[in-house]
Amino acid sequence: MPATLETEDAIKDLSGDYKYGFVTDIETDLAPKGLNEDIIRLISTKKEEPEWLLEWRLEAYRKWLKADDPDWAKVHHPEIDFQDIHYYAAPKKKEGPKSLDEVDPELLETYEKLGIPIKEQEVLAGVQGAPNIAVDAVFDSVSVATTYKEKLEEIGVIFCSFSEAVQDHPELVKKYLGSVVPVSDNAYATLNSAVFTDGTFVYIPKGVQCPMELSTYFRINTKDTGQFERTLIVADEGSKVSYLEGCTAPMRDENQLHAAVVELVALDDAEIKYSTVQNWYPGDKDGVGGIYNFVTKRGACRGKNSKISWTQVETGSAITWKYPSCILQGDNSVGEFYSVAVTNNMQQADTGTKMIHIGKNTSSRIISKGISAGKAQNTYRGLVRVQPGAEGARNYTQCDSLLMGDKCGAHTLPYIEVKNPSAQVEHEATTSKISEDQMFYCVQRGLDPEEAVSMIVNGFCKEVMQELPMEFAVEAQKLLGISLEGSVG
Amino acid sequence: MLEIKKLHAEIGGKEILKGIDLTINAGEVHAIMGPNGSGKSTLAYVLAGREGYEVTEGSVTYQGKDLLDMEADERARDGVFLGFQYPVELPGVNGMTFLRTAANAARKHRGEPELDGIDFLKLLREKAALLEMDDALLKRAVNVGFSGGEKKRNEITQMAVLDPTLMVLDETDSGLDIDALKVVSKGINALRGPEKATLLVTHYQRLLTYVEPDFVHVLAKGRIVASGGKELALELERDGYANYVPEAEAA
Amino acid sequence: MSIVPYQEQFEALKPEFGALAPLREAAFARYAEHGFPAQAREAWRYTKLSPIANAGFAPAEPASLPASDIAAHLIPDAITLVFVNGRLDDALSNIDQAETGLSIKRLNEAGDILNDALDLSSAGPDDALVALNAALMQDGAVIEIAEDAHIDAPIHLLFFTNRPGMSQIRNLIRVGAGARATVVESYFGNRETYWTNVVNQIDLGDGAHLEHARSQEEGVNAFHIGAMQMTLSADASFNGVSVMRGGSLARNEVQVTVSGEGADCKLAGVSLGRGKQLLDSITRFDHAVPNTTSDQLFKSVMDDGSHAVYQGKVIVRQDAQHTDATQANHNLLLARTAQASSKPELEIFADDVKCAHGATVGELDDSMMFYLKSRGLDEDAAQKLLIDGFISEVLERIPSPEIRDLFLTDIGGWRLGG
Repeated sequence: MPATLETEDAIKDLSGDYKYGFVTDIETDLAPKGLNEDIIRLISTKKEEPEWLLEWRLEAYRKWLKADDPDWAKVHHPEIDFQDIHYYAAPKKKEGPKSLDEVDPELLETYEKLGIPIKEQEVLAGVQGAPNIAVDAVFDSVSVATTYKEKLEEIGVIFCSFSEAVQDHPELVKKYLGSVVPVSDNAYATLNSAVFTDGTFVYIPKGVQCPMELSTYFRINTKDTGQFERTLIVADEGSKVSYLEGCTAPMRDENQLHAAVVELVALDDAEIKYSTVQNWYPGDKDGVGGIYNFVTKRGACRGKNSKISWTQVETGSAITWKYPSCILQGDNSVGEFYSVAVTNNMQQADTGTKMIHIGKNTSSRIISKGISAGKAQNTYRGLVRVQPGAEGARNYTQCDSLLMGDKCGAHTLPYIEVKNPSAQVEHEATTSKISEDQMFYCVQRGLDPEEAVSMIVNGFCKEVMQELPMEFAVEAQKLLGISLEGSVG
Repeated sequence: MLEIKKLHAEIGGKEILKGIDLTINAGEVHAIMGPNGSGKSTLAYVLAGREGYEVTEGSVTYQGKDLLDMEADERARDGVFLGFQYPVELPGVNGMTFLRTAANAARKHRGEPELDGIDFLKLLREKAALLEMDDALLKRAVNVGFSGGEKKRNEITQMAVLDPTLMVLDETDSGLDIDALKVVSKGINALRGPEKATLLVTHYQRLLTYVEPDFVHVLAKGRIVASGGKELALELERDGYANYVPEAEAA
Repeated sequence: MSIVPYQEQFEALKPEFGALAPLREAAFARYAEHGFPAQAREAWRYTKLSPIANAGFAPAEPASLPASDIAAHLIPDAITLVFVNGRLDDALSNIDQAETGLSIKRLNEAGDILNDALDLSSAGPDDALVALNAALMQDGAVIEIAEDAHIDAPIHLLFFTNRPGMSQIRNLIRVGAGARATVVESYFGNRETYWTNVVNQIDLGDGAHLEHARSQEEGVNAFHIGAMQMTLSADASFNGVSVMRGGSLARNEVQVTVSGEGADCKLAGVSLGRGKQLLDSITRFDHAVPNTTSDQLFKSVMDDGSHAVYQGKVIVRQDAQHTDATQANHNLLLARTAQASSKPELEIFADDVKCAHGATVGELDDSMMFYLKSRGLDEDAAQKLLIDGFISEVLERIPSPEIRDLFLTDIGGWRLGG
């Protein structure tokens, strides 16, 4: 797609400024490591972005230079060297393994347990030459994807990569980008704003009920969105959409730091359901390797009667740090957060939500299930705030922790701040373990111990799992069991 | 089918079973009776393979195999069913899913094809009809919020579906009113057969009115002190355990 | 070293330090390292200390207090210690009442005990005011109860302030193995602007039991910062009830280390706020050994533009299997501009434990109000009845009827606008 004249000019103007000489080699796949304004200009140029977006990125970068690393999460990791990261890599594939024979057998075993078809396994494992075959195998043919896209276009749904949206729908991007997660929200969101490379854009026009779960059929195609992903979903008045993110299959990724930003906007009477299954590489049993998943997700219920519902099943990553939140501005708007976070071995998860009640009669519901095994640390951190104007606000929060073994930890940190007397806010939390009685009962019925654990854990998580769309639910159930393997003594 | 020889078992270093000898043949129903603390439940748990119950001496042979060498779940898949005195609650675990998983684990073990949801439902309906029980309980989380009677009925439904070879029922009659007792007994009777054996563990005679045992044994202080036919149960009902356990209070 | 708040006051008091000089010097150094805790610190996020830091209070001047002023606050048959403006008033106290196994000393008579008992080595930035208190402490009671002694008479510590300035009070209560006692603290004051900074250290020996009740009714312009640091040995038990309703800014922090198996700690509190009061309750229960229990129940009733805070933390260490800990916080907001902030926090490192917490914020239940009105009660009467019911759950935990009645009388005064 042709860049606008303005952009072309911008690139020409910029050409002289690059200090590292890669402008002459604009086809380069990889920017040098490190972050500076030139790198950001390079990203913007490569993506043929309009001037305002470059400015937006640069402003974010300048803020990031002054931002402190968030220190309140209960996670520990060595300091991240932000100059040791490539901030731009062309989406060209690296040489993958030639066949499944060359893939880590442990990974294949997990695919097997999840019941993933062999062709799809090849794609997930990055086997050379696999993508086309796999897309055919999994989705019948590439045309299926295209058919869906056409069908969506017919009803006016915009569903495309972020880069495409910048080119094709700049007015929408400009209007909503950064409107829910401000550039300076936290250091990782600020960094993402400066250097994000791609992601997803969704716009559902007025009155349209999106007829399918978005992203299900594209989950393989869109997996290479990089470590600084940006998602923006706007549901216009009276519209409805369900969006699925992630994949139950374990994702190997060389990038240690992932700092995504997701922004949702729901206007009057609109509804967004956002479901995530996160299974990034958690590192080995001793905590070597693994992804740092520092994500900022937030939804704004801008319109009256709007609703945003987050469902997440978090089993992967060495460190997970995310708080999908809802800003309930519109009167009668509803925010929901359903979460399962499993940590095993040396994993650390600090996750929860913020429900900010601003509009009248807003309500929110938080169901969080944390499971800790091995030497893992699992923290729920949540904020329920009722602003003075939020007449009649309601919140119900339930946080349950399950501990498996005596070397792990479960932590619950709810913040409740109420500034309106008509609010009703309720919080409950429990901590428990799988009892010997429960285990023996299951085993006496012929279940092997790992199956028994999986079943009991899935029961513990039921209220969350039933919020997942069907496509995800079955795989996610198996995933819970697999994530906890080796945790029964 | 089941041969218990000189079985000694302890919990936390305390000896509870002090030499049990008992043979149960296919087609037979045996009742083990005894005062509280005599080791009845311990025997049931040892047969089912509960952790923490340590066998220090003796042997248990089940269908020619060394039962004590098998893990609890292996025993279950091999046809040993324990009806719990206090069935355990499994919050959030759907009864149907639970039972189908268990049934398929056993089928897999026997080399039979696993049942899909529809076939399983058929089987379940069939068994439930046989027992004149409805399957509504199975739509809920396992035992959660069930009354005592519902829990016991649920145990029998599970037993019917899993179709075990050796049924060990631990105080299945406790906490049941007379109507529930009749329903449960009917279920147990329906599952009797020439290829199967049943071991009823009970404190009172009343279950035995409905499920007639072939043999009755009195267990006291970890030993079988008397064996006889069903008339022994009536005698115990009338005279209590005093004749067998001198210091026991008349029941 | 740059000048920190209260450096001058510290220098001025130096000539009076005597035998405790090294202890005070060390404590001040500890405090000066951190200074006043900033709101950026999690434990202090709702408590703004700058007015106290900036006021630079000098010790409140001694003054007399007519006996009639305290008469209404006395507990019959109690051993009573009355402190006026931070100093013990001998005339108003009956400290010499003889009880076998009970020793009560003033702070300045107990140098050896204090040197032995005060350990500030673990005082971090959140404990800076505890350290400052150790540097500046003026008076207080050192109460020791001998092994197996049962002290029937309640020991009542009354603190009155009627002059501007600060009172730095330090009490040390040691209950020997198998001993039992009841300690009551009451704080009162007039409309002067003053600061009470009180630190109680409580050590319970094996199997010891302490009943504790605390009533904080400082004057409307007062600042009250209270800290209680308690250790429970094996099978020791503590039952505490606290009422907080005075001061413009008031805080009470309770740190409990449950370090002996079988120990049990019960703590309940009610905060009653009006005007622009900030009433801050902080707890930190640290279960370090197996088989211990704790129970926290905190409630608040907030009117006008007042703000109730509860930040409670339960830590269950890896070794502390079979801990049973509960935490409940319920807040009632009576006015449009009243606020409640609640953070019941669990930090759990052992798997075989029972830990649960609950928190609610809301207004008086409409249907209950309607029910009462339908029975002929007017708005005020219905409200009073419901509030009484709401807080009674806390006050009922005081076993002594005399003490409970005294507290109830005081609370009655709150509702009438007193």
